[in-house]
Amino acid sequence: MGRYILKRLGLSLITLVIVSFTVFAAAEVLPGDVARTVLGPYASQQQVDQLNHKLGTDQPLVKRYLTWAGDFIKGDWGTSPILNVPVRPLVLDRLKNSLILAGFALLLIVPISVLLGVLAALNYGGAADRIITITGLSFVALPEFVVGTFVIVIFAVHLGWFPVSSSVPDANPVDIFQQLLLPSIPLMFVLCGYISRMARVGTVESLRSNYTRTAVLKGLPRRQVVGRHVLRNSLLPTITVVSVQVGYLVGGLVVVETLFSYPGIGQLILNAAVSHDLPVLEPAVLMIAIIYLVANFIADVLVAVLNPRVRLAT
Amino acid sequence: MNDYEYHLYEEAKSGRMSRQQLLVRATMMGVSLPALTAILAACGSSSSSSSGGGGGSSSAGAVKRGGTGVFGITSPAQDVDPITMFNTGSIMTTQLAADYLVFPDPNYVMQPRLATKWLPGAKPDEWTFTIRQGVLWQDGSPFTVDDVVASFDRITDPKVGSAALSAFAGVLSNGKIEKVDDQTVKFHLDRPYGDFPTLVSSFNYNSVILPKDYKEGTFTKGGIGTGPFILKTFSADQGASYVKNPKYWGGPTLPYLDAVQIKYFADTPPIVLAIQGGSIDVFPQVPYQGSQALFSDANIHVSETPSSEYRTLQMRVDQDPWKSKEVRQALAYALDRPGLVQGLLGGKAELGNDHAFAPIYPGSPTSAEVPQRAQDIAKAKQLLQSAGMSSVNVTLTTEQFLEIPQYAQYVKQMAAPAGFNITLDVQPQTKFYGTGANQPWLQANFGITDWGARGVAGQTIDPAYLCSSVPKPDLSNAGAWNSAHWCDPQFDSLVKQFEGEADEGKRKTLAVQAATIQNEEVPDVIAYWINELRATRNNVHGLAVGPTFHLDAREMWKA
Repeated sequence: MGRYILKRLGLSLITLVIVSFTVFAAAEVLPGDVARTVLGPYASQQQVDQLNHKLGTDQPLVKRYLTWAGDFIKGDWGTSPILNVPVRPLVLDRLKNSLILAGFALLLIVPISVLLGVLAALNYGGAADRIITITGLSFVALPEFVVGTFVIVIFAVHLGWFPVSSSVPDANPVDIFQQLLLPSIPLMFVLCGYISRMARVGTVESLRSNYTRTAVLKGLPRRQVVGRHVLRNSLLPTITVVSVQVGYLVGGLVVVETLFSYPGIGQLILNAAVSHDLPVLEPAVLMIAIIYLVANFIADVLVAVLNPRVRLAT
Repeated sequence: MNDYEYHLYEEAKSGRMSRQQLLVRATMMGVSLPALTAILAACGSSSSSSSGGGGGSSSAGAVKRGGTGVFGITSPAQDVDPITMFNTGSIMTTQLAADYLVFPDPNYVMQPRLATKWLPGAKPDEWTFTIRQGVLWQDGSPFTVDDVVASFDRITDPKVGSAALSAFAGVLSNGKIEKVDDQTVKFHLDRPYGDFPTLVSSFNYNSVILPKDYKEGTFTKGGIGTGPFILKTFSADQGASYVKNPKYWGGPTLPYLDAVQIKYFADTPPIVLAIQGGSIDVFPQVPYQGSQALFSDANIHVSETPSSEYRTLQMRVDQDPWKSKEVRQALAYALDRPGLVQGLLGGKAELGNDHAFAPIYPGSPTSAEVPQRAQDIAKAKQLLQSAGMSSVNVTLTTEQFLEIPQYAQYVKQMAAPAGFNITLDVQPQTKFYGTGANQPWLQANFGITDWGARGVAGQTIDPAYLCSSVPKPDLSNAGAWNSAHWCDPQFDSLVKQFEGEADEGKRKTLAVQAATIQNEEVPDVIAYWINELRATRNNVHGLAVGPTFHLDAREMWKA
């Protein structure tokens, strides 16, 4: 197991280096000019050139990357020339906000999705299966913007039960629920159908397997068959799918963050890209990549724990 | 009365000027209140302020002091500095804490702020402003004439690169602001300019008055300005918070609110939802597209005021096919302007007639003086044929902003029967405005550009239609925004005479002549002038209905 973990760590680090260079290189060729964006459209070209020189954007790409990567590791992420604030606390603060929303959303999405998927599988071909499957697919097709607007209009504007804009909650569970439930609903619509389908497929496969048949023939109660034998195997693909969605939940919620005015990292990245705020864009995207890698790493380890064949094969 | 005041009296009495036009011109030229009162009384009108009232219900009741007003605006998405700011989010953030010399009311009538009086010289190439006394900066230090001189020296300095340079180009050069004494400042202009107070108002949004030792980039630290609210916290993509300025020069009663918050939003729909849900009180500048839900919301009052905000459909007169005036006119005749107004803006706009004298400007030509152009496909075809063409293939380059992409679609559809085959190229705004030597909005053969409201015709015309505003090939002349690259010396001469003329009758004649040339030559199609919209919750009172990108919350209160 130790060797398996080390190998996974090594691959993650290599991936991280490649991602960091890709992010850096892609950001450098985005349309726009940092100095022009900061100074506005009326500054002279001389002033623009001066500021670009001050920001170092006129240096060779590789030299800039090495400097940037070194500073990133040291924790010196510089200052945003657009927002005029230090980058590290800004990015980490937004990341924290996104992790809070993602965590709350996952707490709702995963149990509900798995439960629905298992229920559908246990009633394979029946009415419950059809209802859950069709409903899930229908919800997936609804854009986040549509669902988000709908819940805001109903629950915030007309009923007044929730705020129209969501802010970062304090530690109070009531406040957490009030601030984060509405933005989580569009995410549930997007992900529950997908995750529940994976759980359903895995559960159906497990239910049809020889070990499940053996457990039934041994006379074990159905609850024990499902809980001890079926779920442990059926959730393996679900774990992988959930880990992939973690990255989306943390860094991909631009639409939800915009609609609910939630100060997350997705919107920060979008604004940084549009305004060519490289000192913010690059570390923010890299942090999302790190979250992805960590989530996948944890998923790989969990799968290996649940399924010894995986770690022995490597 | 002096000669000018008597002249105004004659113009008003004869019916050549409306009351609103009289007020605008009188206040622009520094006519004193007693004289204005006398003129209006003699013409059978009152001199009560035409401030345009506030939002909310008509039966407001007694003013209720205290509380916090919350505004929802689009994010400035960058740090705010009054010297270089150029977007609405930055401008409104500044205007709550800082003051100008003068400030327009919804009818574009200039009101005193840090200047209490202003007068032109014998020719309006010198303007003397009397500075308000007893004003304190928010840190308690005294506001002086030196601060005014320093503020204008700063923004007229080409090295600073302020957007104000485009407004002052050819009018006020650096170093021409003179401290006469402790109460008076004099501006020595490069040429006579009768509308100069507009250039020191919020219509020239960078002309905010800042301390003489102001350091660029420090405004959002807070506590800078003489305005009614003190900026306390700022986050470029979240919002800003302010508290009442206890030392505000407006007297112990103003402002009415104890605090103000601005919430920044990335887009229009969240602001619409926020005001509907009550988490903001005011949506100060409402675009029609995406805000239709507000018009039928019983809890929200949406005010509508005419403005000089517009879009140019510009044609490079120095490139084919637009070198031919007939081709440009053909396109102009192909468009159904009432259809555009209705389809794009729900009727909330006034028809444009391909000249830059917006209907809101006093003395602008009427359709009786410059006949309104209307759709005429047969004439459009005929004009194309007279230019030796049966069809024209062009690419229309424009930006993803508000109703403009739909406008481009309409142009494509409407112009097709006349023989125009238009390909659309809709770009993100950052790409469309570009950088350095690559700025599509100034270079495209055929494009649509958005233009914010200006206070007077000169502010609209000077940076966009004069020969001096034609961009150089390398775009190195900052502030030259003549995107059609049109140069007509006669038009230039008429405009400059218009800007320097005090006689209202002569101004009108010059405006008609200039507008006729521009309408005839049609370097840009100007199809509509957008009515500005401002939304307030019904319990909000005292906030002026416009101009909508000017934020004056001194007298705002909440029931």
